[in-house]
Amino acid sequence: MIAEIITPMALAPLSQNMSAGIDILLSPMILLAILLGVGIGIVFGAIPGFSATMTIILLTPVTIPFEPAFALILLVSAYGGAVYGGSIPAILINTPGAPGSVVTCWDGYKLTQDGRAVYALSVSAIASGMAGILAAATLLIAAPVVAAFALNFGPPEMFLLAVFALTIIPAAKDASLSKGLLAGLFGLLIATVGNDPQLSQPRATYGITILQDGFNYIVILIGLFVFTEMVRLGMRGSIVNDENNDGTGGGFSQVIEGMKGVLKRPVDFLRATAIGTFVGSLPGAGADVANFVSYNEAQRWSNEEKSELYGTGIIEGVIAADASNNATQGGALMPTLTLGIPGSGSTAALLGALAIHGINPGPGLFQRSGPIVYAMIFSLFIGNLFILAYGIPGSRYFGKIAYVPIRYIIPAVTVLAVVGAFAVRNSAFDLFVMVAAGLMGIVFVKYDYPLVSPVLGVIVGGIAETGFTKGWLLNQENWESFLTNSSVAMALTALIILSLLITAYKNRE
Amino acid sequence: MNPTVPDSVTIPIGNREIRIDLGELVLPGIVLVFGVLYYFGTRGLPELSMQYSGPLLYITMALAIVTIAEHAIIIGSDERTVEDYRKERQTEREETEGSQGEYFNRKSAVGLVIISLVYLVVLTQSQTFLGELSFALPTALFLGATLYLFGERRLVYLLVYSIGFALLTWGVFINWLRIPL
Repeated sequence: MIAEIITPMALAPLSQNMSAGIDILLSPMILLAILLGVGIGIVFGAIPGFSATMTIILLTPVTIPFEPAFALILLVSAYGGAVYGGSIPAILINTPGAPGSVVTCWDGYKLTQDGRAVYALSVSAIASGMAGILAAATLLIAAPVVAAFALNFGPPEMFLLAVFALTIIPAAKDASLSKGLLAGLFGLLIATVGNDPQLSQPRATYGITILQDGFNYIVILIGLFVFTEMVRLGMRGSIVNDENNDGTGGGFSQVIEGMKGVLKRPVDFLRATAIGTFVGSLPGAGADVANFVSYNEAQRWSNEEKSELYGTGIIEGVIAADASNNATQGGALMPTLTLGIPGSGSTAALLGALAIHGINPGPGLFQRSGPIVYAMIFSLFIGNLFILAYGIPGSRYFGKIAYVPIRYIIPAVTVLAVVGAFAVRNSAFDLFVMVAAGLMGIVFVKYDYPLVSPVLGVIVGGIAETGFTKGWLLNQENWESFLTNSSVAMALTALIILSLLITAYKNRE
Repeated sequence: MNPTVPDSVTIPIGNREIRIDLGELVLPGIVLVFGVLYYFGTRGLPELSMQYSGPLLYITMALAIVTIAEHAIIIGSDERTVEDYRKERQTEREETEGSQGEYFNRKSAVGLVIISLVYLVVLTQSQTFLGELSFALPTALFLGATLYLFGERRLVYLLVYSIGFALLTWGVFINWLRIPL
């Protein structure tokens, strides 16, 4: 059926776009952007509490004066670098640099305690780099197909897709159904503030001029993901200790051993990569979910004897965590680029950067901005090679970054968050929105509401409203006709019901 | 954890008791307040303007009430008393909130929020009386105050860090990128 829907016309400019993308990529400046981006990402990611999302958010204002290709490839490269960077302190000092590296601690740090840190770091770099390359290949193959397929989505399908994106988060994050949905609906409601798309009447703006354009999701994202984290760091402080026990002794032989270790376990590696790519492509579920799922699956697929060794410092544990972790990047970019629906907090931040640089993700993206999008996808291959190049010889040095006292991080990052929130539309009002979102984020975290739900709600709010109002009109205000508009609409309705039922079942358990 | 605000309210009803977790009320409460403000801010708009947002508002508010009923209100029973629940929650929160270091605690976090708000007010109002220094000066003061809050007491470090980073951000964002802060 898909073959019928994707017309040859839609795929026709594929080769021209690809070759134009390669031309962009071969420019020395773009290669410099990848080199810089991966390096910056690794450094930021290696700081405990500093996620890939924060890295992208804080780097975005700096990229404003650059050409879109340079800026976006720098950010995508920093994204990959930061995801990998989080594993370095996880292995060296039992402190995940980002939520996506929590599982890496379990076996990675045990290896460090056994004096095999270089071995663990090599395994991490190789598993991360290779998984990133495979996930990028999946993205390269699947994204144009999904994008061409998405061109056939009408208004009801877009509305249902937005609803599906919100309903799947509680299931993916193992959160309470009511809390997950409330957070998402709250985001949708926030997105309706401002002039309505039909009659341009101001909704709940209370005379504030800037609110006629609504709340900006990038500002909310900065508040929820950066300011919230700074306040939390201010509350709990640095979690790094035992500076002298970094266990980075050992030589090049451990690097070779690490390489062989990954290559000898293709099934473990491929399973983790597949899980990472798939979980990453689900809206709202990023590396933090993927590495738990991957680790559990790795343990489940092992024989009883091996299964008991997980958590004691085995290479399979590091592969399961780090291959899935980095594979989420390629997966998460798929819905972001093709449907305009971010697969994670990091891709939500990237979506904002794309908008700032004049790229409009969603159906038709490959027709509108094919060359630059292909350049971004191809840059993932080179970026992951750089992860290998940086990671294998340099990870023990990157590990030292984790010891930067947190007291120096908090003030600087808060200032960068303020500048970033203001830069979005030069509005002082947005600064206070950022702080309000940050304070709300603390409540979200403390009471187990998925943090990504309100952001996703605000992002897909426009898609949902336009889809609903147009679809409702086109279907003569009839629900049955709206939901059965096409086979895609029916499939999406079924998926929404299924994800609600799964979450309700999990909650009962 | 040493809360100065009560974590919950218990209402005895016969042999049972109803416990209201005040923390769990916060987010649904914010949603309800937002919903009420939204309602008053959209009253009288044409039906077409509220075709989507009207039903969304009511569904969201209804869900906020369901969330309160599900998570904030606990009815004690013989099998699992309210006190058991309170202890469980207390342990969970202590596990996730354990502060480390003399200068990192709830007070410091509140301090950060207050200093940030003061910084934003000064930053947005100082253009008229600080002119060219309206970004760099409040930013340097904010950086110094926050660093002091989190335990840095060496004057040289405070000065170098706050002035250095303020000048760096001014150079990059205000001077180079022309962000009109």
